Parts: sequence; C-alpha cells; structure tokens
Amino acid sequence: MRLKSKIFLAGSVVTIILLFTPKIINASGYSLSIYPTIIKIKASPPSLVKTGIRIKNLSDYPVDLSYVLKPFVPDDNNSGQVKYLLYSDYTSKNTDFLKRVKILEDNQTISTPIKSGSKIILSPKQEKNLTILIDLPQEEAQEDHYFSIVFLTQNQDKLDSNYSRLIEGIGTNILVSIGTNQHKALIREFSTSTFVSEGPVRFNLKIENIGKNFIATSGYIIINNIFGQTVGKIDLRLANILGKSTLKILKDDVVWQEKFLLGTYTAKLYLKYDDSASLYREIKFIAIPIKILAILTIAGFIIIFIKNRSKTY
Amino acid sequence: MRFSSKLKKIGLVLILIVTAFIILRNRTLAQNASNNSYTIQGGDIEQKTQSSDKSSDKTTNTYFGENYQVTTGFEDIEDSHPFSFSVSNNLVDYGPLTATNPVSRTTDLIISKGSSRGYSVFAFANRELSDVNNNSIPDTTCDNGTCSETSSGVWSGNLSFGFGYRCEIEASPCSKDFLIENSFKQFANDSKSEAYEAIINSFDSRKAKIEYKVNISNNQAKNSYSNSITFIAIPNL
Repeated sequence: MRLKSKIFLAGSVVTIILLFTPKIINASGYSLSIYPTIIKIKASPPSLVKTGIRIKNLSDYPVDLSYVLKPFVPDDNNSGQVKYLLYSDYTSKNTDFLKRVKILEDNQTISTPIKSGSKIILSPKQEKNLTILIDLPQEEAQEDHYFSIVFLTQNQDKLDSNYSRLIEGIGTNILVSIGTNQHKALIREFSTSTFVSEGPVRFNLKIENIGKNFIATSGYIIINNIFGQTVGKIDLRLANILGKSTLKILKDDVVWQEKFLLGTYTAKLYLKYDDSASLYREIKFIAIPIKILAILTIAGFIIIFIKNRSKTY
Repeated sequence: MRFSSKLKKIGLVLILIVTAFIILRNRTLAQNASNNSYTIQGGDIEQKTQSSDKSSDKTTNTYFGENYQVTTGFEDIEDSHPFSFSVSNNLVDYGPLTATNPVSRTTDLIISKGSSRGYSVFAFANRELSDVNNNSIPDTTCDNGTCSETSSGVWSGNLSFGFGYRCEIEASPCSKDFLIENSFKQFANDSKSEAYEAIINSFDSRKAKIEYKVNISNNQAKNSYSNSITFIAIPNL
C-alpha cells in the first residue's frame, strides 16, 4: 500500500510539473535561397524587359511565399548597402513604376503587388524559376529605379500563450536604368597615411557617381617604389554605385599586404566605369621601418663597442 | 677619429645591404604579379582591356532583348552560388509571463553569402506584443530609459519592463550596438512607420543568434500577447 501511494504521489508530481511547465516549442524554421543576387537592366522604351529569378526551399517542410517590391536608396554610410523607403515615403513615380513589374510562374502572373502579394508554394527542396517582366511604355520617364524583390514566408501559426510569429524574407536587388545613359564619376578620396613604419598599407577610397544613372566601377592600384619598380598590385572589387550617390570602399578592402617597407612609394589608382571611361589618381607615401632601423643601429653600436674593448685588452 | 670612420663604414655597408635587399626583393615580386587582365613584368605593365576578351569572362551573364540589356550577378565573381538565409524557428514561445521575471528566447539566423558582395539582414515587428483587447507590452527603453529601435542600451534590471532583442556578438557580425554585454534594442515597429533596421551587415557567410527578452510589470493585464517579427536578408549592391 505504501509503495502504491508513493508511486501515485510521484506520478501526480510529474503530471503537475508537465502541465505547468511552459512549453518551449522548437518549431521548424525556414531556409530559402535566391539567385541571382543582383540584376542590372538598361532599357530604352518602349520595351518589355524579361528576366528571371530562382527561388529554392532548402528546408524539409513545404513553404508558402508571398512577395513584395521594395524601392530603396543608398544607405547613409555610403557603404554599398540598401536603405528601404518607408511605404509612407513612396512617391507616385515609385508606385507607377512598381505597377509595371510583374512576377510570373509558368507564364501566369502571380500578382501585381506594391505592398503585399499572393502565394508561391514551394515543396521541400523545390526550386522554382520565376519570370520578371517590366513593361516600359514609350512615355516612361528616362530615369533610374532601384528596388528589391523580397519573398516572405507566410506564417499563420498560433499559440495559446505569449509568442512572436517569425517571418523570413529573402530578396535580390534590381537596378533599372531607362533611357540615354549619362555616366560621370569622380574619385572623391584616395589616401593613406603619409608615413608608415610597416605594412600592410590600407587605402581610403571614395568614388562619387555624379551622373543620374547607376554605374559599375572596377580597377586596380599599382604601387611603385622609389626606383620606379612595380612592387605591388591591388585589384579592386567591382562596385555598383547608384545614380547621384557616393560609395566608400572600406579600408579593409583596399589593402597592400606587403610587410617590410622602406623609402618613398607611389600608389597609382586606375579606375574604369561604364566599360569605357577611366579615372586616374596617384598618391605618395613614405615608409620608414623604425623598429628595424633602431635594432640595426643598436646592433652596430654594440659591435663597435665590443671591437673597441677587445682591442683595448 | 678611428671610431667615427668605422661608424661611417658600417653605416655605408648597412645602406648598401638595405638598398640591395629592396631592389632584389622587388624584382621578384614584380615578376610574379599577373592575372587575366594584367601582366606585370619587372616594373613594366602590359595592360589588356577587359572588353577585348569578353568571351573569356565566365562570370558576366549579360544578354540582350529588344531595346534592353540585362546583366545578372557580379561580373568579377566567378562562381554562381545562390544567396541563402535560414531562420531556426517560426514561432517564439515566451510561455506564461510573470511580473519582474524576464523571459529570454533565441533564434539562430544563418546566412550564406553565395556569389554576393556581402549582405544586410533587416528586422522589424508588425506591432508591439499585443493582446486581443489591444493592450500591449511596450517596447523596452532599457535600464536608463533611452534605448530605441536605432540605439541600444543596457537592460539587466528586473524592474525595467518591455520587449526587446539583442544580437549575440561572439558568434556573428551583429551591429556594434551589441558590443556591450546585455545591450538591447527595440525592433523597428512597422505600425509606427519606423524604418527597418539593419541588424547584421557582413561580407562573409555567418551565423547569428538573436535573443528576445520580455519582462512585464505588476500592472500588465494578464492575457496572451503576440506579434510578428520579420527578418529580411538582402545582398549588398
């Protein structure tokens, strides 16, 4: 009897604990991939631009997606990231242009959303090729439009307790340039420390696109020593710069890795944009390996001191 | 006199050694530097224009239609891997909330940059944690009452109430706002037209841990509170 009552008591305690312990649900998450990561379009109206996008469900669960088109501007730090416009800040130009963008699945328009859209269903591991159509009529204004296509998971799950429902969004950026392209860019900054004691040498680089249309820049930096010999080369990554904006290329992206440096060096920047126009700038910097010179000087003095002492005795 | 002439000799030898070292060293470097576009030989640069060799450019996917041209991807990135983003759960269950007992939960965000130039992850909530009667748990203002969706603050006291998040710095490229331990921010609130905040900016594939925290006061009406939080991953330009 005593054993039975103990078992009953233990069972009751376990049941109570299970009932009142908060549920921690490790609900399945989402995993999506998208390709390409950027689409650049140059068009002269009238034209019906057709391109594609690939979206894949990487998870083991089916997923429902909607999509939104979100116009963006360059971020305030000029770092090549996007800054989304608030819906309340959309202009009629934004909304009119976005109405011309359609996403198609098997030649069927999914919807023509501006703020929210309809469903795309992806089975586990399924990939879909979607078509993007942009209809540009003759009267389309000659200007650039920048927006992201963002696919959002649909989640209607609920709990009885306090909870946050999570939604995953993944997107790609689309740059559209309409009409005659007028490109003009400037090197706003190309600098490094005037005096360095050792490498690596980091360069500051700021490029301003003063034209109305986006540009893609590429280039390299050649470094010559005091004798005019080429001692280093830094390839610059391709950078897309939106119209009327500046791109600051991060110091850590423009680095000459050479460690031992001595003398005067000349860094020559060759920059190309719009596949034809080019820009050039050069700067000089002086490298004095203070640590090594100090060690050599001390070593020299020690050698002389030892020699003099040995001759004295 | 003898001392100074020796000093001069040693100095001269040192200068000669260093000069010879620089010249020989640089010659070797210059002979090795080359790629598809440029060849550097002994200080002379032979420059080939990129446009003359378009067929060998594996990365550019440019095609033409009637009155338009489309380029996909980055011209100088050779692979064509997709950009991917994973969120470890679709619900965050805070369980029953009791006054002055903060509840923390986490979500892992995994981003694979693919053939992008880095990326940002934006986050926002559709509203404050709210119940069916429109009572809400306010967004936290942290211990000193100053944190918001744009600036962080330390939130460690049990008498500071609200809802907020932090991004764990040790495992991720979270923004600098979270460098200080126990620093939290509010989610940007879409219903108040607050701008989406980039919570992660990175150039490499990473995993980040988002920690949610909710703490209620004695005055908070007992009910079920909920909201939606959206994470958007987008490649850089």
